Amino acid sequence: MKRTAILTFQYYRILLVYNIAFTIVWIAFALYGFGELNLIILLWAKISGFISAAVLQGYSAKESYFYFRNAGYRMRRIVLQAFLTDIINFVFAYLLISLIIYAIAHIKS
Amino acid sequence: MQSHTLKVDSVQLSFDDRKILQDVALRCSIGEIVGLLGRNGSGKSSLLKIIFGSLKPSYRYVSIDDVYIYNGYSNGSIAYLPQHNYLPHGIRISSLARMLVDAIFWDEFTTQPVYQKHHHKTAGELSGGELRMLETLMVVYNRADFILLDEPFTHISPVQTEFFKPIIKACAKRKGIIVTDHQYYNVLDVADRLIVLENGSTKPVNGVDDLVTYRYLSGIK
Repeated sequence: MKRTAILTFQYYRILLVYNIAFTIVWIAFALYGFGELNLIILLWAKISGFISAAVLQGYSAKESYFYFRNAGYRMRRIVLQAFLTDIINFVFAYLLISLIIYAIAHIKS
Repeated sequence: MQSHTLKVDSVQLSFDDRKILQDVALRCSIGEIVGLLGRNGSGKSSLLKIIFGSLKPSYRYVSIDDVYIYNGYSNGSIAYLPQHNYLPHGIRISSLARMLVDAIFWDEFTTQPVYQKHHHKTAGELSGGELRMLETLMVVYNRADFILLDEPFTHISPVQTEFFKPIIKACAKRKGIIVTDHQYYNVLDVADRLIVLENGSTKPVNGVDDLVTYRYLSGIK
């Protein structure tokens, strides 16, 4: 279990910069296209950002897959677990930011 | 120590109607080093990838102790050193090593000078030769029972080659190793048994003369 978590985190860390960058790009596209942001659009941008980062990593640095395979894991499993971690992080970040915005509004009023 | 045997049979691989592998029979037991030789394009790397599970041929039969295995790597029984660098960049060598190196070899692994010197760095901070040495060590000391080494001697200096040979031989007491390299004299040094891949078929080698017969060498000096 600990090994699985560490390997998932390592893969997640490899993707992190691209994941954030692509997510911002998709949010910008959504903002330009729809003119507003809501939870559904943000979630769509997050999922698209992760998929874009994973595809780019698979295309440009596929040789690193052998590291995870030599650790005894299939890439499908690692990518899926990293994706779930990303969604959980997104939900936590969304809730935290919403709570802060609500608290600031409450204090001001 | 338990004895296990890896068997590979009935491999069929072709690219664009060109048959690469068609009559392969290979066996490797724990405690044994099998040398796999063959000319460029004979299918050595493809065969190792098929055994490992990262390349899917039209047909293959790979088993350990007569139990069919779908993917060599997915249950951690087979580790593979590819020809290219495989360690991901941006993560410290020590963190990567902990995921690959067998606990029983950890103390021995951490005494290796190349690890002691670079364990706090990332793969991107190392030279090609240093990275290759660490990658080879991490596969040789892997927890898998069977180790596949694809050109372990090619990207390193002769001194480092001599350094690796006793390590590979020592690890073979606990593991089965299949090694291939174009520096055939290094393969001859470490291997207990040799096999040549020619025209997609495996041929057992009983003496160096057979390497000439199978057109791997043009002659013996």
